[in-house]
Amino acid sequence: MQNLKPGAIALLAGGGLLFISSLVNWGPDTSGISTDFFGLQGLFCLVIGGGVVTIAAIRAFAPQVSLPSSVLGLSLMQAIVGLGLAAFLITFGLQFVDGSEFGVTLGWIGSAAIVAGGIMESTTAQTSSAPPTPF
Amino acid sequence: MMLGGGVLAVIGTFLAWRDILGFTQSGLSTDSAGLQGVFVLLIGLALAGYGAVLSFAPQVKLPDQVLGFTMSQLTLVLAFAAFLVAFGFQFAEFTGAGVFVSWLGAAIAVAGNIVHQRGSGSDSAAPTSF
Repeated sequence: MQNLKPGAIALLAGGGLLFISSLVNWGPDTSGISTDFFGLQGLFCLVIGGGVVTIAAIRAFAPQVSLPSSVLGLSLMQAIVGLGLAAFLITFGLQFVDGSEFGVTLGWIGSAAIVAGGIMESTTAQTSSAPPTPF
Repeated sequence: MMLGGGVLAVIGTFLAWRDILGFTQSGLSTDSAGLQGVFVLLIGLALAGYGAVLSFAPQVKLPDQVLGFTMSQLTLVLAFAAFLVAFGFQFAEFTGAGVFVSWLGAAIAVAGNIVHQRGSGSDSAAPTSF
């Protein structure tokens, strides 16, 4: 646990927060996963949050498990940043709807942490894999 | 496809996203869709602009990388995000035709981006021996 990098911590915390937020009220007496009000948007956030926590946990605690290195031309971390951005646009966009509640705020904070953590992890990977420079 | 998809996503935001018994609100109405319609509008404009540059002005120099993403990867991520926003909204109650037009446009832009990446990938592939 002490060896976790800040990016990995941000991914774990952000994914967990996004997952929980979709189960909390997004509107008056309406949770995020109510399809009548929010369509599939809350479900997307639930799945994205759960997926990010799972991937971050595997990378942190079970590195022997092999994950796909690229998805549709994106590295795994870039794909996570993209999914985090989508969740951020959904939840931050809803923040300004009349009657939005605390779950929406939790959601965009969690998804912002996912985006930040993903960028930190991908830049760390790029720097560590860069070729050595001459003295 | 990216140009067409981006334009379609933009047009969709000006159409009805909520239609409650004939009373409609466009995607840009912040009361019903918050900033989601505005985000789709901005992403659609960016996709259309990128598609237009690729199609009609390839001499224009765009930045190679933004936050570690190439321009193709960045537009793919943005188009997919716009698709999730609009497609997710499709299944709420009382949605209007604008939502459908927007997610269709974003989906076309995603497909166009993948086709473009595959095309440029095969162009730049190393030659194989006979």
